[in-house]
Amino acid sequence: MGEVIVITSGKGGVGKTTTSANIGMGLSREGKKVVMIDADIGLRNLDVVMGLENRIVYDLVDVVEEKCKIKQALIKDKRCSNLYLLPSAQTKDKSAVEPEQMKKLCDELRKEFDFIIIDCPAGIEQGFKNAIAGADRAIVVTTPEVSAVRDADRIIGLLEANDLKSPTLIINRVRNDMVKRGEMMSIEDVMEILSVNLIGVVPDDEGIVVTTNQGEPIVASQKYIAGQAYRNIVHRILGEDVPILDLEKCNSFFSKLKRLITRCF
Amino acid sequence: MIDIMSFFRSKKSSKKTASQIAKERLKLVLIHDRSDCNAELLENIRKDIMDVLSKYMEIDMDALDIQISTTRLDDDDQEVPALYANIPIKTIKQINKDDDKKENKKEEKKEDKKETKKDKEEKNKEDKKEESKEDKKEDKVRKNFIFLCLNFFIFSMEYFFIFVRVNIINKL
Repeated sequence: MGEVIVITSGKGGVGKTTTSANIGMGLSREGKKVVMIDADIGLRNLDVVMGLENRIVYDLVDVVEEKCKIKQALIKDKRCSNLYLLPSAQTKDKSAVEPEQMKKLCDELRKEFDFIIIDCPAGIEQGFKNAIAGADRAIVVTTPEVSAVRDADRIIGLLEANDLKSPTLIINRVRNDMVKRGEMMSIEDVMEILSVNLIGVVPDDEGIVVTTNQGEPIVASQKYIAGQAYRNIVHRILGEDVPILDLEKCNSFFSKLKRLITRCF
Repeated sequence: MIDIMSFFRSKKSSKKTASQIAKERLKLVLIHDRSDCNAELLENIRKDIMDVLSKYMEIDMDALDIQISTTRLDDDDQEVPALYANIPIKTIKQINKDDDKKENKKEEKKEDKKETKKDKEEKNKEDKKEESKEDKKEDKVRKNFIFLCLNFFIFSMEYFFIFVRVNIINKL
C-alpha cells in the first residue's frame, strides 16, 4: 500500500510546486514508484516545472468525471522510469472536484504506487480541502518570513483539525548570510514559533530558477546545493536519519570551489 | 559632522535586529490567531495552572474546564479575548494558615489597583461559580478558597496581559 503525502503551505509562492516536483523525482530516483498529482485546478504548474507540459492529453478532472481511465491520464516521465504525473485541468475551477472524489482517487492509486505526492493549491478553501482529503501525511512548506510563517501556523492547525496529525516542516529559501547579519529569522526562530518537526531546510539557490526554466528538477543535479537539500529531504521521508544541511559549511570557500569545479565539468 | 556621528550612533544603539522584530511580531500575531482554535495552547495553560494550584489543593482533573472565549467591554463595543476556568476542588492542603491570611490581604489590595473592569467582571463570575460548588463546605475552607482563587487569578493575569496587549496593538 502506498503512502499519500500532501505538500501544502497556505501562502502562495513559497515553493510548493518546486518542492513537490523535487520530492517526487527524488523518491523515484531512490527506486520508488511515484505519482505526482497537481491539485491546483485552474492554475496548473507542476507540468511545466517537471518539463512535461507538451504531453498532456487528459487531466485530473477528466479522471474524476470518469471521462477516461486513470492510466490514460498519467504522464510517464522519460528521465525516471518510475515517475508519473497526473496534471490538473487548466480551464476548470476548484469546485470541479469534491473531497470524496479525491479520496477515492488516492485509494485507487495507492494500490499501484509507493508514493502519491499531492501538490496543494494556495489558500484554505475548496482546493485545499480536496488536496488533503486523501492524504496520510502532510509536509508544510514555509519561508522565514512573517507572512509565510503565520500562514503555515494556520495550515498546521487546519491539518490537525482534519486528522493529519504531526505534519512536518520544510523551511525554504533560507539565506544564511542574512541570518548571520540578523536580517532574517533563523531556522531555530521558525521552529520555536511553529513547534512541529523539521524535515528539511532548503537554501535560497539561483539554481532553482535555472533548473525550473529548463524543466529539470534540481534534485537530479549535482551542481547545486539546493539539490543536495532535496535529496536529504527524500532520505528523511524514507525514514533515514540525515542531519540537517549545515548552511555555514556550504558557503565556505572550499565547498564553493568544489561546486565551481563540478559545474565546469 | 556631529550629525553623521549621531546617525551612526543611533543606528548602533537600536539593538533589535530585523529578525528579532519579525519574531516578536509573529509571536504576538500568532497568540491572537491561535486564541480561538488551538488546543495545544490551552493544554499548556492548563498544565501550568495545574502546577501552581496543586501546591495548595487537590483538584478534580476530569471535571476541569479551561477555555478561551470572548467578553465585551462595558465602555467599548469591541470583543476581547478572555480566559475562563472552572476548577473543582477535592481537598485543600492546610499550610501556614496565618501567614496565608496576611498574604491574602496584601495581594487583594495590590490586585484591586491593577484590575481593569474586564478582569473584575471575570473574577466575580469565577468566584460565584466556584463558591456555589463550595456552599456545603465550612466557612474556614471557604475563606481559604477565596485566597487561593485570588492566587490563581494573579497567575492567570500573566496570560491576560498578553491578550490585552495583542488587543491594544490591533486597535492601533
